[in-house]
Amino acid sequence: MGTIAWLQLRQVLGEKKIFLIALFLALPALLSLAYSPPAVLAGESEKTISAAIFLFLLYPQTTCLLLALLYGSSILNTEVEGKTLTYLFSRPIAKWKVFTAKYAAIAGCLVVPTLGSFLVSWAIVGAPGGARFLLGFALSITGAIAIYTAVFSVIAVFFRKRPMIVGLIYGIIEFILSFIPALVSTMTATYFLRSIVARVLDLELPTDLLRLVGAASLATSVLALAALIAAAVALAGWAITQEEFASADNA
Amino acid sequence: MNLIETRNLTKLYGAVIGVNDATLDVPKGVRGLLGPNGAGKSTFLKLVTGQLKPTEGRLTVLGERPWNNPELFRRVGFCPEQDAFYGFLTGFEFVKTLARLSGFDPAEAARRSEASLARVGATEYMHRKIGTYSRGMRQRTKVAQSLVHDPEFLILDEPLSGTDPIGRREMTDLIRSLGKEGRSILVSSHVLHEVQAVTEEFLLMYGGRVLASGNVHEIRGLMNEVPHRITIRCREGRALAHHLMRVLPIAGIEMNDGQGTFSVLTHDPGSFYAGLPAVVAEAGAKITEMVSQDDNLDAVFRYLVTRD
Repeated sequence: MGTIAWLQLRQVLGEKKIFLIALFLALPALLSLAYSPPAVLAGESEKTISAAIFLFLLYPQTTCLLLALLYGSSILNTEVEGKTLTYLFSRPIAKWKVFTAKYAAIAGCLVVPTLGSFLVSWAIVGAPGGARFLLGFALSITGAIAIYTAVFSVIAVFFRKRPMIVGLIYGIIEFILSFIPALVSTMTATYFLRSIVARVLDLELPTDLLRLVGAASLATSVLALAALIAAAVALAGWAITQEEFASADNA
Repeated sequence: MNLIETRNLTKLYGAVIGVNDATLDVPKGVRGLLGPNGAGKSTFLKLVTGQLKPTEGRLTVLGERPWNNPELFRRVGFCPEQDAFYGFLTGFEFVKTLARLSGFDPAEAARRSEASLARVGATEYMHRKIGTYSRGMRQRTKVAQSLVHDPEFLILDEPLSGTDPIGRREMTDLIRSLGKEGRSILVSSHVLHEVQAVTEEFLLMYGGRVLASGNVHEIRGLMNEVPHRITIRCREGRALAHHLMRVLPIAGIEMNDGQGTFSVLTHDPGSFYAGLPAVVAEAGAKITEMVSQDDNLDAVFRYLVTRD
């Protein structure tokens, strides 16, 4: 599986899309330059909350989602369209392993520069919250890329014609659902990503607001995300073994 | 054990038939898979290599079902038709990567890749990026990756496509030598003489159906309802044709005066050849060239295709 991951990594680094990654990661840092906490916020804690909301919307909620959409939705399409998948599927390696290795390589490849970009943005907005802030966001960003890449990979397998559009619709619906109180919000990945930030930063929020933002414990959030990722990767891996990727051309 | 066995194998793409109710046993050895573009060859090979799942029927390759059976590819090597590559890799990296996926450690994969690329004559440029290769170089590299794990069954989809005359000759020699080593090979092509240069054993596909399989001469023998065609070049063509019609078992004669030849159609080529010398002597004719036109793959192919 390491060989496939290496191949995927070379593929990602060799693609023109790499410039899009650079753009996606430079943009939030530039937007951070325009950030200034509302004047009404006097305390340090309030300023931290404000920065956390701003950076959460910028990174786990937008940048991570868009990067995952860009790469997750084309996890196999690039090879299917380039007809190189035949080489991978005519070797003694299970199709689900090919998929899992590609998924791991893409997720890893996205996490590292996104964390780097976040570090720059965090410094620009005044380095609020110290190490706990960084840890909370590192976990949330890693989780966001891992879960969204997995979800968009599943979408790519089931909706091979328009994976990007379906993925974008999913992202919007998920964001809306994550603010519906009670059980509905807890069924979204965003809720747990927010919970991680809220718990690690130990945000002092009113109970009602905390429940809406994300009241799950850190352990529950991490486990829930891990379970969602495992389920999505397993589902995509299973679906790939059932799919035919060869076309009828030159039949 | 047969190389390939199919029973009522059918593959549909929606309402389009890719392979239609094929039942055949393909013994081990070197075989050609012939048919025009769109005949179903690629679909058949995609089924054989597990890229497609049969819609109906049964298919085994070396006794195993190929669909979702990656372990089979320890024994099978596949060179696809499509000119697709990871252009950012060198030829050596490409072959080595696929060798690694076949389960070899890095050192063994590197050794095998070098040997495989040397075997197809690609050593000189193997450390250049594939993106800079000519079509012929890419074709050789593709064949090298299919050989790198030393498979007992090699499937080559249009391996001569895009090669120059020298490359074609070298590739033909390579396929022959691989066959002589005892390896089973299935070579697909839509160009008859390409396959004929490699083997006389073949499968013929058209319209999604396997029309015939076996040796070209055996197939020809089965076609006894269609006369055998023999073209004769002779200055005294009309006189000789007249004598032949009178004496030998002949179904018809076609005169090609412009070319100085005539074609004899017979259902009994054995008797025709046996009686020919006497008739030629009686007619006082001198034959300068005689070609048994039907005794080649082209004729078999044409006949079987037009019959259906």
